[in-house]
Amino acid sequence: MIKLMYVDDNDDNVYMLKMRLELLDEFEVLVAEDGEKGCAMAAAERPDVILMDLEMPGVDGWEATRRVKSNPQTRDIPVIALSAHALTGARDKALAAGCDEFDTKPIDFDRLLATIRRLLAVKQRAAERS
Amino acid sequence: MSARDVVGRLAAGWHALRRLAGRAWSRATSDARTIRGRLFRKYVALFVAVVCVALLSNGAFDVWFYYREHKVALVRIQREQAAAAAAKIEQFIREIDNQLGWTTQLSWSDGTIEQRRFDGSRMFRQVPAITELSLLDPKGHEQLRMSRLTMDVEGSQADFSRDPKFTEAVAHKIYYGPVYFRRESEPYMTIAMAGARRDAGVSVAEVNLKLIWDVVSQIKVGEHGYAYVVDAQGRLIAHPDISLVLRKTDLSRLPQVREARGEVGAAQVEEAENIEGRDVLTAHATIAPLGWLVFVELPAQEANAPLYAALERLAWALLAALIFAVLAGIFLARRMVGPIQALRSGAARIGSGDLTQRIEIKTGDELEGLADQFNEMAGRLQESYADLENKVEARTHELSQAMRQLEEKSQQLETASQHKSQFLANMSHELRTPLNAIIGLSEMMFTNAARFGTEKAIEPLRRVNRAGTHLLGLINQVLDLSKIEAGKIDLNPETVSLAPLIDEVVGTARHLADQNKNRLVVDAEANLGAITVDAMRLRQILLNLLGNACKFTKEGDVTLRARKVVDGGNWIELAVVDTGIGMTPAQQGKLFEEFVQADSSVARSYGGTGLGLAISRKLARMMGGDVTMTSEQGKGSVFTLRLPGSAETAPAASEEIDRPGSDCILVIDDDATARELVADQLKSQGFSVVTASGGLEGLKRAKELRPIAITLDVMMPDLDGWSVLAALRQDSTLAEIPVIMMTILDEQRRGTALGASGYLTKPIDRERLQRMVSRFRSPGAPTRVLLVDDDDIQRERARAWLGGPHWIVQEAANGREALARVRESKPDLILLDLMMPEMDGFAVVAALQAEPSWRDIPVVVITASDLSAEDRKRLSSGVQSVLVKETFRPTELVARIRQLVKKPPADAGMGAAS
Repeated sequence: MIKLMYVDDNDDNVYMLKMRLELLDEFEVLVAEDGEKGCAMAAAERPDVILMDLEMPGVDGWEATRRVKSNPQTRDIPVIALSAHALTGARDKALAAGCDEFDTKPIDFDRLLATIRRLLAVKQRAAERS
Repeated sequence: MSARDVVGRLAAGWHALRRLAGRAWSRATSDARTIRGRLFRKYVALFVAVVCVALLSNGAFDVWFYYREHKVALVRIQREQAAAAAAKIEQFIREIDNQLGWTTQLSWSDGTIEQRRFDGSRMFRQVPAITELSLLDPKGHEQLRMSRLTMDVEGSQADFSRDPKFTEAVAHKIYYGPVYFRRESEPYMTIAMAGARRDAGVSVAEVNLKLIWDVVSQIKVGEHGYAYVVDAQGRLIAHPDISLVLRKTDLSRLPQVREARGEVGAAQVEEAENIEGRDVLTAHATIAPLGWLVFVELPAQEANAPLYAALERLAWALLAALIFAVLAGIFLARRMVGPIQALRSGAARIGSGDLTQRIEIKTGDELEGLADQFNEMAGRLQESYADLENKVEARTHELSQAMRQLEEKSQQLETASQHKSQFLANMSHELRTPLNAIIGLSEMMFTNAARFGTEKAIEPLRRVNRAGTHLLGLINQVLDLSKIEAGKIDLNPETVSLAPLIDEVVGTARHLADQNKNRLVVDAEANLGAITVDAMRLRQILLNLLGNACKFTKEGDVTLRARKVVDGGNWIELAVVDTGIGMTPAQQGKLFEEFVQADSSVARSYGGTGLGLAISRKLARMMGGDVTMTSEQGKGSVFTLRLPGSAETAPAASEEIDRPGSDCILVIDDDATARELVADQLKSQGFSVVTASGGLEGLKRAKELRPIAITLDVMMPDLDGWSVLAALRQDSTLAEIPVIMMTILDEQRRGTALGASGYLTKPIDRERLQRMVSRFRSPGAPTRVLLVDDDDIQRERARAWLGGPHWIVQEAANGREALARVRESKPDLILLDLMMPEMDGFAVVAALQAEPSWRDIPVVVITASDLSAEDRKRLSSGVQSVLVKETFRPTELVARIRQLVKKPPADAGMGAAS
């Protein structure tokens, strides 16, 4: 089972993605409702992949990503940024903050799954080599 | 020549001069368009004055001194002559004295007569002037008398002892007797001389004074000068004019005589008057022994003659000089003033705009320099003007280009705006349609989960539904805002009571308050009365404000405060006060901007697009009011909606439409009781009422009376209310009359379609539909419902909602089909979508009404929520208001009529009784 952490303050988003992912019987989905809790949970649970919503009150997605990536315990966890912003430059901003991948909302579920699997494969190979 | 002549000559000369000068002047000034001027005259006058003054002063100076010297010279001459004459006369007298003295040498005691005779003869020979000699002895007896003319007489012994000749001579040695005349014309004088010796006796001689006369006569001074002699007493002795002498003229009074005689008080005299009264220049000399005075006088006229002559010469010279000076002055002044004039006129021309003007002055002096400066200046001005003109042209060109660009832009904006409106019209439909499916189907799914056995799906579907509804709300806001901006929002003011409206809004907002555990309080003034406003929009604004307050407040208080305010006008103030998070000044600044929700952090926390406030304020302003706010961070905010006050304060006179026709209300109803009831109510309020018992009659009366309002029963046997309405509407003279429909229906919304008994706005939700249709449910038997909608999904949904034993549902996809269905079997209720292709809802309604048996089928109209004024007009076709018969309150009717009558017809939208 892949341990996936989803950080998002919107209840509906969380409900939907958790349900859908768990329906696949491949994922164990952990949920954090803001950046603060997300960082803590990342350190505690060491998920295999993090889905990070960017616009959140308090500690936002960019900040949380930065924290995660600067924490040696969680540095290696791939982070996929999710944003409803359709503006150009959002992708670059996310990647600059340390995200490994970027996707827009509304989520194209298949595309997202593909991204998750690809990142996990990369991580796997990196781990095998070392 | 005389002074008078001189003056005369001078005067003539003066006149001549004046004439000359005048001619010269006019000539000089006539060709001086260039020369004319005070400067010229000044110069000329100055020149002339200088010359004249110089000449005059010089001449006068000369003349004066010449005169004085001349006079002095004359006087001197005269004096010399006088002195000479006096000397001669003196000499003469002394000679005589001498000679006479010889004769006194002999003493009488021893001398003989012969000797004396001898001396006497000798004396006669020596002195021809003596004509007689008389020798007196010491006793005064004449002893010898000798004469040239007569025989000598000896020893006459005439006694002269008492005679002054003797006595004076003895006393003073010599005696000069007064002058007397012999033979009327010859002057004689007695001279007696006493001898030196004691006994010498006295010799008396008669002296002929002709010599004096000759002397005097010979004296020549000038041409008219003369001399005369006066004796010691001032009596004239000798004068060229003998008659004066003979008359023994006394000249002692004459000043010169007095002076000469040394009288006290006599002044030094050189000019005096003679006995004839003429002015003379006088000089004198004294003949010493006798005390006689010789005067040499010259008539002043002659003495002054050279003076006058000199003066006249001077005058002529002056005249000549004057003329010369004037001419020279004119000439010089012209030379001087000319350039100055040229400068002046040149400068004037340049100053008045002729910059090509150049001043020509070639005098080789500073004036030329000045002219050059002017020319230079003019040249530079020309250049700069030309430059300026070029610049102006360039600018104008630029400006006109810019103008053209602006016009183009403005055109583009116009077109863009039009496109936008078009776009809005399309979007409105397009965006809503898919949402319809999302919301509808998801609702259907979770509602029927049990039936489908999909209980698991309930939660997801609920969420879907909620998200869809939320989205719909957002889209509506966006579209609202766009419409407001495009000016596409119509406001439909109606008069509503404030208090019930507030209650309604607060009721709706309660669940929002509950979400954040806030307390919702109403603080409304009593007697708020009514307000004329688009009620839906008012609710929208209030809900927006309340919603915001509840959203941004947790476990606090939200108060809706309603006040009447008089502040330059009558206002209603509705304020929403919260004890929420408040705003910083920076956040406040951005508040009413669209799509800005304080700032993004707030947006992230609280959600929403931030549109509500912008829309609220815009709507408020469209209504003639505003939304304002105050806030303090951490303490809370106050949002105040202010709207113009109630209809009572609306200007009365101008809105009283001058309706032709009587001031009465027409009541049309087939039910007598109802008719009477309404009529009585109206009459008691002061209206005059006319009744009609049917549609046809009603139309007739309406045409006749042109009432100010009509109440119209809908259900009437002959011509039902709607047909009457249609007819009224078609008649242009009656179309404006407000009509109050009286119906049996108890459902009212903002307006009712022509024949529509109610209406629903899309997207329809189940509850509302059910509520609506349940009104028309026939008791007992199932109700036949005809669904008319071109949208399949909608129909399906509605059918699903109307499942169950109570309903028999039929469907029609367009108007034609609908009417066919109706024909087949009359339904109990029709649910009718207005917007359909082919035959739309309006047409269906019209058709339904056209058929008597169909008229009473209740029709619930389904329409998009924003019925345009156009649509409403079409639907309402003159219906101003709808009242439900059973439940209406008569006072309400009257009030409604009042309002309607006051409103201008064009404005009167649909009114719903509140």
